[in-house]
Amino acid sequence: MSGLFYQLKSVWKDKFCMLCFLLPIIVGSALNLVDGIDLSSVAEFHFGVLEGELPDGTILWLERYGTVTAYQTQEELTDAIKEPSTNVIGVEGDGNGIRTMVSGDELDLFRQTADTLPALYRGREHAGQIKVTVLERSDMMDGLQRIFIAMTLLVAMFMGCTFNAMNIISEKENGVAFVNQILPMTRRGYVIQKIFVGYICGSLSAVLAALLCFRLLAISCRPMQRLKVL
Amino acid sequence: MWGNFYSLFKKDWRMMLDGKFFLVAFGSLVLYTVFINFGYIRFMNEALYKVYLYDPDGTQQEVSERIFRVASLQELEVALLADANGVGIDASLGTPDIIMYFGSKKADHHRADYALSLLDCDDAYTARIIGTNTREQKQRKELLCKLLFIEIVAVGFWGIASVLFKEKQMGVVRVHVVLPFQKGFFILSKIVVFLLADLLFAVLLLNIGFPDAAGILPAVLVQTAVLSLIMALTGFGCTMLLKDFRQFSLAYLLIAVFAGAPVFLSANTSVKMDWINWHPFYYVYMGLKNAYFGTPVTRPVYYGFAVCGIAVGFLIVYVVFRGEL
Repeated sequence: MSGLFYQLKSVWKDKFCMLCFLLPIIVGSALNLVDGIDLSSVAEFHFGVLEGELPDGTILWLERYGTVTAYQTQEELTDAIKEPSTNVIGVEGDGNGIRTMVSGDELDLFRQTADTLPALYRGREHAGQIKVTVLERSDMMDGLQRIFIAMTLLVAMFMGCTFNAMNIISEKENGVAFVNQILPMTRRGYVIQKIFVGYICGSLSAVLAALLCFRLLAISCRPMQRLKVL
Repeated sequence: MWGNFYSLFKKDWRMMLDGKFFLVAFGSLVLYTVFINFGYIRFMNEALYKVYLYDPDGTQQEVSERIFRVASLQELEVALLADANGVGIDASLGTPDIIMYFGSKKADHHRADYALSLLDCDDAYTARIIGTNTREQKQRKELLCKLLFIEIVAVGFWGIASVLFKEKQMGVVRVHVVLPFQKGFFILSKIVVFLLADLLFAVLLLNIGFPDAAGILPAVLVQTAVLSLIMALTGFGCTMLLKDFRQFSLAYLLIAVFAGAPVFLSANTSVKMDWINWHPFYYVYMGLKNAYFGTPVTRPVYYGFAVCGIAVGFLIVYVVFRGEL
């Protein structure tokens, strides 16, 4: 434990290590303040339609589930559906109902949504009469879980390796590496201490950055509501 | 003249071997291959929400096979607590009532309507498929693109810096002042070595089956070459300008965070940033991604900018290098 304390003290005094630790937090805060990123589209479905093909009522109905983008030509719609970075579901009219198109390479979630969408459209009037009870959970993240996980992983990976690299390079340059060789400390103990310090600081930096970036601190301050009826 | 270049090339190749760069690259290749085939493809999927039905009096008979029946309200509550995306239907009073935990406003509308639709058994319809890739093919190509980008931006960039810092430390760079060859060859031999290593890596990383790979390989190699040259010149320039490897590590971190994160977010999710069109790495990444998906960039403007960028980068590095000598 005393060895760990000295490692933490050495890290605290190292300017480059502290810079490594603070960099993701600064970037997260900057992104939070800049407000140039719209994350609301992540948790929604995306539908593509041909301009003027579907009635306004159908477009309004689709907008209950996500965003609807109207394309001028069939080629544009097809390209948008096939675009690998999005999961656009194409919707076209079929008499009184609708038909759907997908690219075939999306997750099952979107394929199954497209398969069941015409059935939902047929039952839309009946659905409006049903009572829906929505329960609140304070530990949910408004559908941003996947982005939160990706950002945390990205930052934690880089922080984890760069933090330890900075620390050990500083020790080599300052001659502390030679002093470590005569200290009563096993190699295994040294490695475990370094890994532990790097892991803790990397994880903490990643979590703080993600929290600041997604304003989860603000969300967690919302008053809890037990029940809400849709 | 080219004999001198060949000597420099051999020297740099040997330095990379001694610096275990190829070992790191090979290790990365093995790790990525294992991850793609046994991790990402197998586990990266998500199904639609599960729907749980509590119907003690049997009022809902013709329901879809996708519904899970539960025996009590307590069982329904436990199921919903364990499955955050799940939707519960309480049909104990005759008419179905939907119960679920909050997800997001629009997703909740869909969840409720979807759950209700399952009470009428109608599983026949399937959406029309208009693409050519399966889910697995798309995931492979997407991940290959990301991994190759990370490998060149991170490992290649770091590799050239580590070789150069070693030469700086040994004083080898200053020795080149008195050697009888054009000073630009020193820069050229390094970037050619890393270019060849990156091209070889791109070929070996192609984990998508031979028929697909043969078709997209030329376009992928062209984009790999563009990215490799840009990163090699950037690494060379940073090494010449910065004092030691520690300062370089910080610069590397800044580049990785500011170059990598916004590009990945914009190019792979529906999150779009207003300023992403001003980000040069976004176009390079999209060029690589389009090459993997069989729609290589054909606009001459893109290649014009790439060639100009590389030429300007080379000139800047040459001037800085001459200053160092």
